[in-house]
Amino acid sequence: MTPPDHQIAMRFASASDHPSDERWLGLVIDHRSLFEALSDGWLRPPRDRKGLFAGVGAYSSERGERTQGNRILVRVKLRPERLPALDVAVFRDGQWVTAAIQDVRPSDQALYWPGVLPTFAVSQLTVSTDEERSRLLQLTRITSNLDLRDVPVRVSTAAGEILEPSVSPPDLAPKLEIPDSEGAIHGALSMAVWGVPRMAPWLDLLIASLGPDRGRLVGSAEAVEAPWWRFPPWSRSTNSVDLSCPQECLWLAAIGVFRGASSDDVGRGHDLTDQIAANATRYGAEPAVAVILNWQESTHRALRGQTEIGIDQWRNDPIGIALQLVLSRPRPVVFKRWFKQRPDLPPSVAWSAAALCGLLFGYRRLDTEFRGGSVQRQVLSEYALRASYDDGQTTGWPTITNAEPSWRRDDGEYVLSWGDRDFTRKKEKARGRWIAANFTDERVLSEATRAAKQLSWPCLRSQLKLIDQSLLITGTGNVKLDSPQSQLDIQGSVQLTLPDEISIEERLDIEKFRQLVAVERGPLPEPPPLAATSS
Amino acid sequence: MARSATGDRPQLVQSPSLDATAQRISRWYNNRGDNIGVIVQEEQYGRSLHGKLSDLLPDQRVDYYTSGQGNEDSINLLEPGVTILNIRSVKGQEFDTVFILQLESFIPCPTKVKKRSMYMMCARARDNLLLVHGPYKLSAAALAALPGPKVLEREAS
Repeated sequence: MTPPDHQIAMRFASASDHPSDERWLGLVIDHRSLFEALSDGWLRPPRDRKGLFAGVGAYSSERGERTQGNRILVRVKLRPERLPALDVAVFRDGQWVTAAIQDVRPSDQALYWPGVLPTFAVSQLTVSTDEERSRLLQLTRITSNLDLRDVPVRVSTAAGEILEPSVSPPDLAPKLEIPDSEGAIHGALSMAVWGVPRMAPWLDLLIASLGPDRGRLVGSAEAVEAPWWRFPPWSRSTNSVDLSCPQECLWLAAIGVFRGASSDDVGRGHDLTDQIAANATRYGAEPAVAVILNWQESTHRALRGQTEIGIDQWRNDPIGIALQLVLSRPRPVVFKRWFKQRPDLPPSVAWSAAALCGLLFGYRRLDTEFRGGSVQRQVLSEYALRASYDDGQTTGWPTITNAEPSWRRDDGEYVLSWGDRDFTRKKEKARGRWIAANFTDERVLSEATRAAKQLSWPCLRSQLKLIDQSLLITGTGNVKLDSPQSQLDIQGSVQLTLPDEISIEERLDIEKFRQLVAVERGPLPEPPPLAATSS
Repeated sequence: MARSATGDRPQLVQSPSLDATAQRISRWYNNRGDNIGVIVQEEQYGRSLHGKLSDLLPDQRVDYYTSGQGNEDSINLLEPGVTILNIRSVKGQEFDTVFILQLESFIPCPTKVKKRSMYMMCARARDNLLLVHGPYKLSAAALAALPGPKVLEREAS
């Protein structure tokens, strides 16, 4: 009896092609499907399916037409340890069985993966000729949102392909699907990491916005005077919204509109402005409505080129201005020119705008310069997918499930980590160095005082210096010395009669100065070298 | 990645003077930061506009190309900035935003050649198109030649 046509071995890989100690999965796709996958980070099943076939230690190939026109067939190798711990259908000994992905055996022939596959699991690509390799790399180089720097592209004719089993796999419900909002959330995360102000308080806020501790998030947002960040663009919670605050109304309305925007909507600034204003006024309380309507009018005028976007009133309208920066330059490559054109953008406005820009533009067309390196792409892909599930469903990836994000200073750089995985490094800049500076160093204190005076920052206090004096106290009030607090408490009205020769000195309020460094605009000089101590 | 065109509805703008037009273009550039093409009919007008925009945008790229100067081959489309051209120089170029100035000299389009020419100019815009006329109002015939407000937004003067 002839064995059933469960699979047809075509040509198996030689031992030299694949190290024997490495389990791997493989499939064959054309270069267009590969580029689609690299654009948004997910290799999606064909339209008529909800999952993907992959060979185990071989490349699974679709039945039917193998080549179409000028397309390059690419053999894609994936590392199963980078996939979430899901149950899959495994073709074992001529039949389908259900098994956890980590229990797939080297002797298994193929598996059916229930959903999309992440491109960060791709470890190697193989094409058949040098010419195909050159063409593939050339096409990637001229496409701004594709990056193959971290994936080796080999040339080999040792195909190692199998055809998909002809027996249908068991009916596994898709477990890894991509919600519509994932691209927007992924874009917002990428742009937020790209544009985060390189200072401790803002890094605290970024990390808090990715973690589970809501109290820490609220405290971090208040510390940088950006309370709307209690609701990051990637979060679901909108509890305790202050509906009388027009900035929070605009922020939440913009998040709702941008999450649902299509790629065609991105440049339609006037339509987006009207949608944001309509949503914001719908749930804004009366005092906020007038401010929102003013914002709508001034944004239309700025988009028409009738007025320039001004940032002088940023304290009254930080989100209104951030939105104008985004709506007038929705493409990140153009948006980033704001940072050069307006180097005095307040950090809260600049960072909020960057995150909103990513949310509106999405991840799919985002240029590689904003996507970060391979570890960042992996971590943010995992996080974006989990954040885009409305029911908070976990995705089974250990990195973001079992560990928390953090940051640290390291040799002039800030390092962002998730668990023990560093996912991005950013060079420290002047403001970050000021916040970490050692103010017991006289040079630091002196330079900081000078900078505060030049910028007219309200962090200089007058200090009355008295030596060996007794002061006459008159008036109806009471004076009490609170020794533990080093404080003189006065109740009611009191007059102190000062001697002829007194000295009033200016003293820098160091904590206030640090706070202003974190939130205020203005060009700050570099602190004296080797002044930083804390981390 | 090759990007699809996206933008707001084209605008019809009346500008009272060359100064006002230059200020409008410079404000647009400062807000949008993109690559702007400005199409003019007369060389003298283009030269005057170039001078005014160079003053208003001192640190930015403001170029003027005409077929008469024979410098179209060096048109810089890679850097953001403002590029002033005449109708003959603009063929084959593409900009994020296009201002067509002296609209009254281009419309109405009585012949097929003129219509094609107008279409060619409008099609240079990837995202945004502004049709600018003035200081005088357009004639009734010229206004009738333009699309309705669902396609072309009329700015209140």
